[in-house]
Amino acid sequence: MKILAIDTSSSAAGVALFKENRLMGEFVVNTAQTHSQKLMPIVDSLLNQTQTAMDEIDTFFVCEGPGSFTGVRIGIAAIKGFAQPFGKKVFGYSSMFLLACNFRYESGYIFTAIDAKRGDVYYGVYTWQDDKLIILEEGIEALSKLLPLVAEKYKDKPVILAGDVIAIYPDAVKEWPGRLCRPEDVVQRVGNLHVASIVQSDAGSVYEIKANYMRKSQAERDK
Amino acid sequence: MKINENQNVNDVITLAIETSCDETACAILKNGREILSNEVYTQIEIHQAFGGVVPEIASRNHLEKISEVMDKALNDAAVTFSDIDEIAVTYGPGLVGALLVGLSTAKGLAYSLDIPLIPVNHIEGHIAANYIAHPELEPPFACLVVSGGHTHLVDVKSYTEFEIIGRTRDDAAGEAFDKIARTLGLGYPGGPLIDRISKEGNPLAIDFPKAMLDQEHMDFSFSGLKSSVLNYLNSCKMKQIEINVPDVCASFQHAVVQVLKHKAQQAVISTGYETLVIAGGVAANSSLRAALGEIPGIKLYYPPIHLCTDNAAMIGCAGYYASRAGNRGHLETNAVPNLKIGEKKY
Repeated sequence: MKILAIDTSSSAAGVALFKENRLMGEFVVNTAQTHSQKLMPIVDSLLNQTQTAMDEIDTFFVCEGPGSFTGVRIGIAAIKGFAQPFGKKVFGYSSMFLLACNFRYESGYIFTAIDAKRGDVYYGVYTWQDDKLIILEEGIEALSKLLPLVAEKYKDKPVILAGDVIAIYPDAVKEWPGRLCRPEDVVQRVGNLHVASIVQSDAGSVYEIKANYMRKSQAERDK
Repeated sequence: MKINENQNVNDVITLAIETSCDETACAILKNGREILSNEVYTQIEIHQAFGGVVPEIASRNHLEKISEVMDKALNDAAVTFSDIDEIAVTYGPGLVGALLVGLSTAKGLAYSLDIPLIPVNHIEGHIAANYIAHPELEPPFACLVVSGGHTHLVDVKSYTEFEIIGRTRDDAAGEAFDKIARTLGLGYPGGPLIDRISKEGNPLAIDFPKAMLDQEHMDFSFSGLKSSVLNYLNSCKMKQIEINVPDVCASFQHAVVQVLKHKAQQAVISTGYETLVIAGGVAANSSLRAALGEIPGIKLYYPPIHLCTDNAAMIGCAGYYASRAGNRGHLETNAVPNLKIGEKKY
């Protein structure tokens, strides 16, 4: 089974090819160009380099967000174009989940948080169970409120905190009781995706995949 | 390629996608001018609550609907993806986030089906709507393009060559319609509402300014007219004079139409063409159609109402001719929100 995974939720465009659970190849481009310019060339390069034809891909994984609204839409729309003519399977994963995949050998909880601006963060709490990364919760919350909540709720095991919030809000995370991951050690790289952990069902298709913005549009918030 | 009774091997089947504003649209065409299906999902009701199109909401809805809209178009046309020979898609002008949903889907489709991608200029699509409606119509001709965001006079030299010979120096005609409609509390979109209400009013009741009627160039200006109508409404309110809404609508529309007519006539004279074509959303305006019909010595064409508003069939038609001329997109083709008529930026 071959899987093509993409992530266009941050400024970097990433694509990875997996055969079963093994990474066959990966391209990441983090330049100022738009995802619309970056994504298709790296998909094409990766398939060429790995001598894989598009019709060999059985399943697509796409980052459903949160992150760049436009970036996420470009990724999902491209996957719809790839998968819809052939009725192929499509599954989504969150950007916080992808970050958490960096911590394969954590025995406690993995708490990832990405700056959502205006004092809010997109966050997720995960743990490994039977060699699968399990989602305990995901959401958006004010960082000042979230940190004590998570510390209290998951106090039975060590919690490692990772994500760009560490560099962006150094004062807020100073009091964090668990470990802090150095910002340079955590990258949102699609080749890190733990594909065996993505929950797959029969329903995964272009009709079910949705962007997970976690935020209403400005116009709806102002209403 | 699957052959059924409606198709033969030489037929070119185009799948077209349009998501430049608030309509999610997909169409299937045979040989560029025959519509096999033309599916439009309109978001108008969603945006009415905000008094105009909200770009982020439009983009979100495009992504949610596009797969179903494509399936409906394929079903209605009784074809499958394997029958499609090329993918045409609007890449500008329009709302960038909205354009990117259709364009990214189209690029994904063209790549996975291994067929050509044809980026289409939305406004050139509006012009091409006339080819679908009028099988005998061929370029060259003069074209008046009037829509929510555009007011242009275009020398359509061939199916793929366009030259702008007149443009608005400020507001598009459609913007003025929307603004006046909003001020009168009529709602959105303004064009069709004002057109309808105008039928009950007197077009000569109020003498609003008709800008640049006396000049020979073919540029337009509607901001003065717009301000004049708004000033009129304000002064009525201050003097507590009751506003006759049908008369205001009819007089405003009359002023717009007279300007458009005059400039279109100039375009016909300067190009020497005997054919005048109207394109764009405002081409649905009954008073504009009637006024342009009065220009002597020309054959006037305009699309039926359902092809005036945004649709994908017109994109498929323009794309068909672009493809025959060898115009193809590639992996890096991007949306160009401020794309001009006649520009090729892919």
